[in-house]
Amino acid sequence: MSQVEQTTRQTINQMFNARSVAVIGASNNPGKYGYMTVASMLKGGYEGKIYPINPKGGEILGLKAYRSLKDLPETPDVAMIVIPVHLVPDIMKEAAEIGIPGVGITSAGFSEVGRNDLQEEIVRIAKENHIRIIGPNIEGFIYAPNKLHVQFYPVIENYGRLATITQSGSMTNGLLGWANDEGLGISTCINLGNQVDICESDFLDFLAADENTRAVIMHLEGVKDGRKFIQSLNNIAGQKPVAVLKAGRSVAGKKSIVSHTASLAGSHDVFKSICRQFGVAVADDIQSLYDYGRTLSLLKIPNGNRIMVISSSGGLGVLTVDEAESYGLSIPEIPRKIIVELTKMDFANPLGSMSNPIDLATIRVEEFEKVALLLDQHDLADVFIFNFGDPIPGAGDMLIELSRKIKASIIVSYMGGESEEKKDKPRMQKAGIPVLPTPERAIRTIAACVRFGEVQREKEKKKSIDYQCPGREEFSDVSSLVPEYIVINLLKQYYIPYPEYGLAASAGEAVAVAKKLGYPVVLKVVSHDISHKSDVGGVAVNLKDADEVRTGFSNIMDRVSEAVRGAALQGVLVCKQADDGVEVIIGALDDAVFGPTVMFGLGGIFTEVLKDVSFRVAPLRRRDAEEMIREIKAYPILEGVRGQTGCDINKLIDLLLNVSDMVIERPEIKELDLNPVRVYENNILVLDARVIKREKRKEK
Amino acid sequence: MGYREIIERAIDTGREVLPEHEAYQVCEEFGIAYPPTRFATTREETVEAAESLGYPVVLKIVSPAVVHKSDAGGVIVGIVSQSELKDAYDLLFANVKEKVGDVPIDGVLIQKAMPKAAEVVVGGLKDDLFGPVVMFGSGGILVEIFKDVSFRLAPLDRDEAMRQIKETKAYEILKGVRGAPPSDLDALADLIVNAGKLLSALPEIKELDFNPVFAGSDGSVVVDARMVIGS
Repeated sequence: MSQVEQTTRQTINQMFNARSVAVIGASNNPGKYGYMTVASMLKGGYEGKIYPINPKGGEILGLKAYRSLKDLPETPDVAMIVIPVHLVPDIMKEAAEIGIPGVGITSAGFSEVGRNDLQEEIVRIAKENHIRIIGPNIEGFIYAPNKLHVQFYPVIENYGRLATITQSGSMTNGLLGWANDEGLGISTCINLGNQVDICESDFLDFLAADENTRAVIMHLEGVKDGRKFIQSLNNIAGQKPVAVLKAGRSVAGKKSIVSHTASLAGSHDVFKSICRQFGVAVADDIQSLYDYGRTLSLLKIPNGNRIMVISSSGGLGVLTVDEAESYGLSIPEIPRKIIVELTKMDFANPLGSMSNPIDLATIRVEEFEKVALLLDQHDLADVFIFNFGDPIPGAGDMLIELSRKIKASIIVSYMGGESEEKKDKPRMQKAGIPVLPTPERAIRTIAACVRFGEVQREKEKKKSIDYQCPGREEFSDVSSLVPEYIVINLLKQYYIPYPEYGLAASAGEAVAVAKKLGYPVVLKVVSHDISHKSDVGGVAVNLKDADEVRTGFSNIMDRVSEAVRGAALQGVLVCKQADDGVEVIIGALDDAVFGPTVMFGLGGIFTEVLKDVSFRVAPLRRRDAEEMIREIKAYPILEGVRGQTGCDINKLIDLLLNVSDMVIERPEIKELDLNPVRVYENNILVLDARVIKREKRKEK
Repeated sequence: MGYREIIERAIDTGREVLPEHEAYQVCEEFGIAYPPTRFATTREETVEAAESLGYPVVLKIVSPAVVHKSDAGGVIVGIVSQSELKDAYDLLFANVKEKVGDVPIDGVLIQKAMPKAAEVVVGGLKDDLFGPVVMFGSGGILVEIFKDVSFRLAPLDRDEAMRQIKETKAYEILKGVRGAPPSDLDALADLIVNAGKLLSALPEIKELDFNPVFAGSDGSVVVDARMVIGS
């Protein structure tokens, strides 16, 4: 092993920019993948050396075939392994002997069919010999800048700047087929397969730095390492737009559910929140993933959210603004003065409407051009959407020319354009103008671009954050509830406000504490054996004098002993009764995939029935805390409705940030529930706190 | 007085909003339940009414000039004794005077306080295109912020009313949450059906607002009723 170890990104770069490629299992039988792979490489016009490997030797598709890797005149930059699964380990050893840096393994039959042993064996061989693996169980990969198509079947016909990362090869084929048909340019196609080594996050890191790629669409089933994925998203955020289609939404990550926060964090909710946090567009289906790919890779990133709609017919315009409004885009009004200027123009059919959405009621391309030029001069919009509902002769040439002249970004929705549409669509897309089949689909993708623009502008201003949280592997799954009086001390360390309190072992002590605090007070049972205090009658509220405290104390002791036989009761926590206020819930959990995650919602039915909650992965930036508060539907309640005073949002943000610090610095916290938290006009108080703590693993 | 007479008299006297106690009389004829209620014009009548209803009671202002009673301080709840009632009576008039000014006041309503239950809204309107429509939704803040409502054309049958209820988030709450017993959904559906009958029978009613309705485990009661007359 003379090779100097290189980073994963460098190895991917070497594999994708390979000057020579070995195809192990190359074949003369057109029905075999080994034939198809070599055929694709030839069809794609690869300019490096192709080394077909086949024990029979001879010639394959006009290329000299080698019997073994050892016979090659040089060490290839990458080998694609296209052979039956049981032969893979031996081939890996051969690859190791000649020092191949990376392999792709198309063969299936590893852990996906229960053969974990085989999978572990190839991983072991790869690790020992510093070989990096893409796959197994893939169809290959495509990197257009190197004209390299080591993939069974499709070939990129339009080189462009969109990269696709998909779980399966079929998805690559489908997306690429669509792109080829309509002139959408692709830079890279990656399928992930079993991801025994190089994973989705590594590819994202590579693509973030790849100057040939402008946008990435991903189809994922799971995420291999949640925190690594978050790091990669944070790295690419603001650099290149990303859209994700996540499969497996229906499968709830069922595990033992102890607290609210855990029960609300269906892992897909957390996943979607992460996408919001890092400005990733979430696709609901394959079609919308592809739509995002079109616009994110082509549209000039808009500077704002103002949309000007210019239609050939009125009906489409109305649908466009309906959709725009639901995505929070703005449809600016055209000032009176400019409308007058517009109506003075020389139109063949001056029947159109000159307010936004503009309905030109024409198919004359020069009229679209004149209107767009005038509107752009006045800087009325960030994006112009041209809404064609008829064949518009010359639209392609006009828009390609216009896109060079105006400041606004241009997108087209083309319907019913017949041969004009068929002819112009690929030409426009090759020239960088996205063309969508309906105005609604165009609008959704514009919204994603606008959001990306916001993330980009924001990111320029801030320092980067480390999302790795090491040290969590030291803790086991064995967990237990921490008594509230201990949790209170933890809250103090993180400046989390809790009412004044004292501990009391007897009714007499409780009265003494209450007197010191001032009435009214609340009593809460203290016991290691009780997990849900209220459910067992372990809480008494609004006790106004010494008599009520004494009665409250004995009632609690009676009720709890009755409800939980044999429970050891240490006494009560006496807290000053808090004033009424808006109740919220703040929680945190250590998500099985994504690590420490903070939750926010309003108390009571809002969280329990309406599931109106938001999540963000820790550590939170101030902006994240703000966004997660605003994101819930019940947000107006915090601002104050029906004559109620508003809440202290700044204190709420501080509290969320403190909780974020706590769960990052305290890996032993598995779940945290601050419920309820009362928010006042100028203050905030945590009234009840539950922490579930994990035990450290025993040293072996 | 039958509901036709009530409506006609309101139209003759140019009243756009039916006085609340007259709205209850209309409800009565369509089998829609409301709390035991008395109308009074003096303090003495008010006390007498409360004594006969039994405490706790709710006191509400009755005035054609006060459409949104709560906003004008024209509703006082949780009155548990005669002395509280007397204070509340004065406070009620003072509130209205402060918030709305010197306006004609017909009198007050004394209403027996109903046991706490899930709060929902049943309403109705005359759609320009489709005619009478019944609305159902969550009460209070939920209807304002979450716009948690569903609509049906009137008249409708009980199955349709049940589907209307189930379309909303209110349904989740009515099933019983946070230790509360489940509400009687059949009774609530009947109330919606009856509201539909009322709207179909009385084309003069432009808007109907039962807000809130207490949907309890043993029936549904309209606790505040507003009917707006229009041509």
